[in-house]
Amino acid sequence: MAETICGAVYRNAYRDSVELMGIAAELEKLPGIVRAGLVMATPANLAVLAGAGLAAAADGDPGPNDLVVAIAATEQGAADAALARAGVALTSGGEGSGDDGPAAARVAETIGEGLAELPDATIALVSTPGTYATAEALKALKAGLHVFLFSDNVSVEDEVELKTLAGRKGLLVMGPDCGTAIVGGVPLGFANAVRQGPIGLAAASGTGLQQVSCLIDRFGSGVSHALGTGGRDLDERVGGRTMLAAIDRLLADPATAVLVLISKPPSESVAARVLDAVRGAAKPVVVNFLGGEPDAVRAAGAHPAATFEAAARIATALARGATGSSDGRGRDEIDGTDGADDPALAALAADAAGRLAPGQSEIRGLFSGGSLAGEAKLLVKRLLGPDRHDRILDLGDDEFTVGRPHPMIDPRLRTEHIAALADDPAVAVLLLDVVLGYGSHLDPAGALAPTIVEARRRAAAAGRHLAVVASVCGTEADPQGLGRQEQILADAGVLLASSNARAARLAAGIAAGAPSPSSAVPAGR
Amino acid sequence: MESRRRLDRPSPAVAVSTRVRSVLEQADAREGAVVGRVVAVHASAVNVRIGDTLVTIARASVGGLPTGIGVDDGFAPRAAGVRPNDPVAVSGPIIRIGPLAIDLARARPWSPRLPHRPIPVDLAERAAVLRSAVEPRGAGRAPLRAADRRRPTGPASTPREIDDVLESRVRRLRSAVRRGDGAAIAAAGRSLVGLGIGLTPSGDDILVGLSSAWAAIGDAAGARRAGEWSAWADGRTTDVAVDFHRAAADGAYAERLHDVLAAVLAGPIDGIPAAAARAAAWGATSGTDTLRGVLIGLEGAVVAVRVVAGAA
Repeated sequence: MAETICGAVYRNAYRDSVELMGIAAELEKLPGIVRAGLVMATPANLAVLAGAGLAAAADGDPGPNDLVVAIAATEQGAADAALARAGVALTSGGEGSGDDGPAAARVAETIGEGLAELPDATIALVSTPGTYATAEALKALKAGLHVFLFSDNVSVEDEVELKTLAGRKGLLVMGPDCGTAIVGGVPLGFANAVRQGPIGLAAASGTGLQQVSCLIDRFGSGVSHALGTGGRDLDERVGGRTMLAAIDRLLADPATAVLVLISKPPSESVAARVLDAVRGAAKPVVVNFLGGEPDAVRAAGAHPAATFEAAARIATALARGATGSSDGRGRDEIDGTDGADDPALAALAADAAGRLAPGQSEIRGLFSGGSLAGEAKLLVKRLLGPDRHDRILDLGDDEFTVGRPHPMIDPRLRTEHIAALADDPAVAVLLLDVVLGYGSHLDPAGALAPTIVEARRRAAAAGRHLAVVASVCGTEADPQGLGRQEQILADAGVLLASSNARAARLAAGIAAGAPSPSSAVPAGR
Repeated sequence: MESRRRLDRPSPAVAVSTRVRSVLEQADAREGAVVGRVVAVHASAVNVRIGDTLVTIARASVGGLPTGIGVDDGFAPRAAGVRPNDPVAVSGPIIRIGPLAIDLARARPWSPRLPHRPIPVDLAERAAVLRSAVEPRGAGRAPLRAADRRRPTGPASTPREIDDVLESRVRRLRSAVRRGDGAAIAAAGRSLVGLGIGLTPSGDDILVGLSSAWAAIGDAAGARRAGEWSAWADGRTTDVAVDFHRAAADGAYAERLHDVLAAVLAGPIDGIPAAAARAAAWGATSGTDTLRGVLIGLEGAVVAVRVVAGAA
């Protein structure tokens, strides 16, 4: 499709890079906009613009102190609308606006200033270098604000101090290193656009919380609040302080009818304390402690869920009034399945396994979500046993992201890994998660698809079939659109599962059906 | 405009760079004489041009700036109604910037000139600590790279193309520094001038950081290159960045860089992360970009020391 290139030059307009990138990102969301860039018109930047075919946008001989807005659009009307939007963004609240309205709201640089402008605020989101995060969180708590602490590099001692103070003041500290929360329908950090409803979540697991909340939305229910606790909260040293406070709040919250508690494997004593807190609760509670013992959960009167999908299904059923249990006890049997006996999944696995070449038997999981990788690892190990060479990697882990953006933001790290494994003759299945929502890449499936297609083509050229299995964690209302993302993956030949647990089961099913090495075809046949 | 009237009373300056003192002493101090104009207004800082020099007036809490005046933490020029092109006038110790007046009478003079320090024997370890402080958890989740989350992430966005070009040229610069190839260093540096989308392009910030590392360890060739890049930068990057290059050529750097280099070269090793975090917090991406340049310089020095030690 032909592109319309146009631009505007703002003389002596100084803006910092983050502001310019923010405006460009907004423009790129407008209909008909192929790309947008706002750059200072230095010769070096203009050369890059020219290389990108956007030279026409920098008309009028701009100088290094001028700002160029460059737009590529599918048609002139869209380009004009984007330029107009850029003009508004650059003149409202930028330098020289001088008014005390919107511009004043943008200049709040301390918690005190923010509170002066938003006196009804109840939460402070802290995302500063770890060195300062504790001090800022303390200021917020002292000002009577709950804290969403996105920052990492906060010591355990500081975490305990913050959470102890929060407990004394009746406040919550979500974090540190808390990636996601939804409070009263407002998403914080990486979160999905889920409908509001009667299910309240408390989670020491970022993508676990995202997966459960998205599935609840897909199963037709909704979320009252989804409170992240920080990944260390159920550690012995922190003692589950935020999880326990969140339980108290959700039990007291009139909008919450069912609670879901999610965590990576917690410390034994903290898990016991958490279960004590829900023993005899007036509201049903679903507990998904990955790898945890279901009997202890049942003994506390709660509903155990082995996977994120099971947690979402059980919670949805309970929210609709079911009173039984997922293991058939009680009056109504609750559907807590996660694909364990799904014949469609088994048929899909058998079909893909039948295409594998001898020697192809291993699973490679390349995940952007740590909790999703953890769940997949558990399921694959449980289904296939421990003595295998499968590898399931959390590419968001520090080991892979030093100096690089997180793979939920920038898919390039993952595409590099996918390209590298295409030539590995032992790999039968590539297992992926695709996480949508606010803060995530705007088109993760689109960014992955070409590499997946190429990897499968290279495997085929070498006489192998590379099965690619994925699940998309998201909703239709997310900025990326669940259906759109799934379609892109399907078009790339990806086998789609409706949840991470099902994707892991499908991958395990394919690997289990792989031809044995002894069936290798002799060379020269 | 109540805010304009309210600010007629001069705000006391806390600190003033010795480079600014000399600029003001040369300015026309006759009553009402306009000696400069406002170039850019930010939430807590304002850039004004006086003669050929760009002076930055900012909250003192950000630390000394090479050509800067630090005022108390209530300083909010954008909210106070300062606008680009507002006149700047000097009358005795008072500098007037549009509706604002700043009193320099009690300001502590601060020298931005970076002192030379000997290279410590454990520089490799110290540089590694600085690197891990700058990139502690990977860019996407690392607090020091938090700004990255706001980048447009579409695969074709123009800032990404500029980033890609920048990264490729930074790799070339780092390689040249590690090889000690003067001509390649000069060329790679020139290719970075003006590259980056914002007020101080990332390429310029990286070069200033690199120059500061050279200045701190007394690398005379590095000082010459800073001068060459400063001359090259004129007309090829933003005025604000040109001024940082000029200051670098003069051996003058922001206090946050003084602190980082003092911590890396002479302080206790566990003080490096905090100094790095303070420096990284500067601007949108300028702090981290400058630290990248510092790292390139220090890692180059590590290699040079090894080569010398090996030869001995």
